[in-house]
Amino acid sequence: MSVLSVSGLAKTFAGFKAVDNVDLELERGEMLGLIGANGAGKSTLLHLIYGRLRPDRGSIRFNGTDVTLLPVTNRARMGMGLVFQIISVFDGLTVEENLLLGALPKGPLPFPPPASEASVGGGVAAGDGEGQGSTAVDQGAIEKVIDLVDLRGVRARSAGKLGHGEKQRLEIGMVLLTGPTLLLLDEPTSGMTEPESRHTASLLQTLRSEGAIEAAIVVEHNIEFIRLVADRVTVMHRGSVLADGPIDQVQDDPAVQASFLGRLH
Amino acid sequence: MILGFLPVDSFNVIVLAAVFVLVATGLHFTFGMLNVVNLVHGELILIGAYTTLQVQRTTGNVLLGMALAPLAAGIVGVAMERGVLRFLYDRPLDSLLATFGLSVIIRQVVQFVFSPNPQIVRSPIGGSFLLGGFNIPWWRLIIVLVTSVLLVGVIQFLQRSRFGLHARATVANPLLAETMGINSGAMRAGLFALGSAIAGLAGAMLAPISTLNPQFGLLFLVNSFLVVIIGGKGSLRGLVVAGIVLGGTLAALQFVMSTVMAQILILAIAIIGVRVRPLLGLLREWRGRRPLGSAV
Repeated sequence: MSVLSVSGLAKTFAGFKAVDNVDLELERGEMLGLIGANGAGKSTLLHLIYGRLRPDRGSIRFNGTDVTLLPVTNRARMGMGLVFQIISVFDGLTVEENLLLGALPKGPLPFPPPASEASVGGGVAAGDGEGQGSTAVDQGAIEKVIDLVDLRGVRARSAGKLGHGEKQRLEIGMVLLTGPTLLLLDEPTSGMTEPESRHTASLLQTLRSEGAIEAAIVVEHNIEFIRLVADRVTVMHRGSVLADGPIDQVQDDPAVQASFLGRLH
Repeated sequence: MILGFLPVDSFNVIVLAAVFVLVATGLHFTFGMLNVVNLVHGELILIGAYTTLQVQRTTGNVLLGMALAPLAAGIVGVAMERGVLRFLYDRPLDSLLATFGLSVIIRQVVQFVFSPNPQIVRSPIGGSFLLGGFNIPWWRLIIVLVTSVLLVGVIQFLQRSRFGLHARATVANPLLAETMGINSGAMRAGLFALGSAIAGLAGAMLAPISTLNPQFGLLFLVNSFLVVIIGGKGSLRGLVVAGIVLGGTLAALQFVMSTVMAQILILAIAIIGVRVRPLLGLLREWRGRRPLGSAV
């Protein structure tokens, strides 16, 4: 069963087809790079997948459940984790409190979950995170994640006082604690220096080898970063999928080269 | 303007400070945290007062009325939030108009049901005692005590409870909160219900020291907003300081001038306060972090 299955997805803004009839499959264990020029529809597609936007047409199935019309909160609890383009943590809280927010059980959902939802869950903090009756905080998961994202030394520090890279690691840690089976990363290296980008790439590789990430979609302009973290890339062009496959194969595709005006090289 | 009928003695400085804090605490949730310019706040106070009156009439038990007042105001509050205001969080002008409309409706309903005539709610604990030469009415002392306990409870609840953490996260960044799996709609409804219930409690507590009529809530609306804004919207600690300064000053000024003049001076202090507040905000930032969502 696919982790994510997008079919015939479309979204139009005032006559502009931002996403046009997109199909996308993601298997467990896969890291997909979503690339394309500015305005190609990558970010819109990501927003549609995690529920910030509603599609005009098409459907999104997540771990076998149709989530097309479910709000962000439901998808998050079903195991969809999002890392924002603009690093988003709660600045007024300490590192540990931020992580606690990811780990805490969250009470009733806006809409009752479908029956199949209960069986979903993976990653580091699988289990209690989405349990409706559970009230315990999984302290063990917090300790594990705090080491994975290398923030043990600053756990009592206010998140607002962290450096750029530390903040991103914290955000990734918070998301991991929600127990995601699918991690969505929206341009994780934007605003980063080259060494910081490499550090983020190596963190993602580590998380994957540790089994903390089961599947991920990375929207990125930075092709070198994509090369480091993704098994497969999907190239978008004017709202549609232009090419899909291993990065070297896609890179040689004349249509892709034309789309990027040589930017892939 | 408000409560000028209190006998002038120094205990009233404390009482009026407590009243200012008490009426503004509910608004901290609806306006301070949720950012709704909540013009129906006064009518939530009104609902608390009239609920107490009605229960007193029906059962003869004022304390029961006071216990039910927060419940009644909370239910009305959450109904308004779910029915109307939740669609208007990003539309401040519309929410201002909506709360204004709701306040008129509630006032008219109260006037229709209870008549515009003044009504009296009995003090559940009458009498007074002498302390240091001052005659201190028991009920006013209880208002001060209840306000203090309420504040400690609210601060602890927002800081320590899971609901408090999730609610503050929702206020600070709703989308991030949702991606953490927090039900932001439920958090907002909960905060609005809580703010409304506290307004209802304020109405119930203040009814015995006032004459009740359908305009009762309006008396408190302006001063509630003053306290919340001068305290640094969203900061409970600031609210307490502003309430004590404004309420205390008003009571103290009443020693030496008319209530109307005192209220004018308070407004002048408020205007100066709003001008100076950005500096205080900077000072706070310099001293250290503010709590998440600036809720306390």
